[in-house]
Amino acid sequence: MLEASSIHIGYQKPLLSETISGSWNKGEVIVLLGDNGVGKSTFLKTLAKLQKPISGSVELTTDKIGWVDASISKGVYLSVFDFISFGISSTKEDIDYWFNRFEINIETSRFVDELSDGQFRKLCIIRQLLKRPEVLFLDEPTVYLDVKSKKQLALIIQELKESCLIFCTTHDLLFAEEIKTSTIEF
Amino acid sequence: MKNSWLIILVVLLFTLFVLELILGTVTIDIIKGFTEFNSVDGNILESRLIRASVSVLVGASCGLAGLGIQTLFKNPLAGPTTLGVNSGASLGVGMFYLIPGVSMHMEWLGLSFFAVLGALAFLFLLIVVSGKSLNLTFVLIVGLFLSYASYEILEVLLQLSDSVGIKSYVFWGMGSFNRANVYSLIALLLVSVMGFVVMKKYATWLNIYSLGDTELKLLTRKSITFNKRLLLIVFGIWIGLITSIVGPIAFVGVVVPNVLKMVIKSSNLNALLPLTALLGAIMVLLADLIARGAIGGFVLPVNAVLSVLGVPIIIYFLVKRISGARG
Repeated sequence: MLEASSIHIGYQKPLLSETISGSWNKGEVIVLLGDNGVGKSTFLKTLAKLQKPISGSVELTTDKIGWVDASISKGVYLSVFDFISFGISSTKEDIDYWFNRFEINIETSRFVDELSDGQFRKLCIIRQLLKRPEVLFLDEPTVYLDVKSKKQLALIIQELKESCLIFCTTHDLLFAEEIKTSTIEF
Repeated sequence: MKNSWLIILVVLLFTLFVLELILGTVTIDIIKGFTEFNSVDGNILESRLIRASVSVLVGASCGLAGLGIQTLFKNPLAGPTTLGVNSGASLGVGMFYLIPGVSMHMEWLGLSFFAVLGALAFLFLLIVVSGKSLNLTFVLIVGLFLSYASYEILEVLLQLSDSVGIKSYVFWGMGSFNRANVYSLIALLLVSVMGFVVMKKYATWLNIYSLGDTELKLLTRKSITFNKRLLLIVFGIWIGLITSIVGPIAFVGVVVPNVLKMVIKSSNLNALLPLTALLGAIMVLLADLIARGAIGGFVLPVNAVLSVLGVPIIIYFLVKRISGARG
């Protein structure tokens, strides 16, 4: 469902000297490992078609894409409900389900910028899961999460991969070990 | 909760609208005014009806345009003045009143013509200078400098002008509904409806926009720059027209959306649009009632009344909000 043919990633000039090719399907969890700044996030953006590759092409057969990174805005007056409903048609059952799974108990009328960083990170993940994605990109999803929540996220990823192709960058090797079906090292 | 607010605001607006027709420095017979158009009561009622309608439209428009610009710039303190378009209108009005002879020889063009021309010229400059990428931080800075430039030019014009011109210009700057007539009402109605329809159509897009460009790209795949430019032009024309008719009363556009977002605890534009229009209309209608002496008996500038009404409210809510937020 996702295929990359000899892509060169980067902005003006390529980040990597060699090209990347590959074909991935549902059921896979691909973990990307590597130092800061080597191009892991750029690679994910290219796969998600958020950014064009310098050369080569990306074939993506779905537009149901989940994306977790630190770029989403908290706004000033965004309520928790705003945050998990803007542009998504999610039901109350879905919302309750994921809130329970992530063990967060917050009123949906609260403003997002009143939450702790950990709570906000969980909310970011929940927003993407409410989209019922077929491809899920997780760019360092474990940042700010406590040990218990990391375990819970690993478990959820295991369940999700049945119906979803998952890419994940992380610097947490234990977490990577728990979720991966394969790795790409940069 | 949102529906009950809607009902309360509709009732309040209706009450104020009726009061605006009944109350005034002159007491009139309303029924006679409606049945006998050519009587004195009929004439007074007609002018009050226009004034009340203009107040409602200006209030609603200021609120909505403010809401739109705050959403677009992702800044709760942005407002109708942020674009600098109203400075363009001020400059146009300044040229009309302050350059000796202009108001006398070009009176047939009218004050509004100069104001709209100034506003559109500034909007055009803003769009052209901000270039292809339409970086909104850059737009903000350009808007700010356009405002400075117009302010400085106006200072020079003030130096050169006579006392009559200066007085007219200063009074315009205080905001007034005295110049409103049937034609300005129609123009305002058309542009307000256009603005409202555009905002309604873009409400969901703007909601996602407030979460950031990544979400927007993933969920809509529409051209972000095109939409931003379109909205800027719509808001610019809207604000330019309001300023040209009643003067710079942009303050409502900052207060109303901030207060409403805190009260309903949401930034959802679909819910905020009707509420913002209503509360904006209520605020300006109330301010005009007080300003023209219908309540209290003193004639005051609209802007002064609005500030006295609005500043304590906005400070109260902002302090409450800031103490709740983390970092």
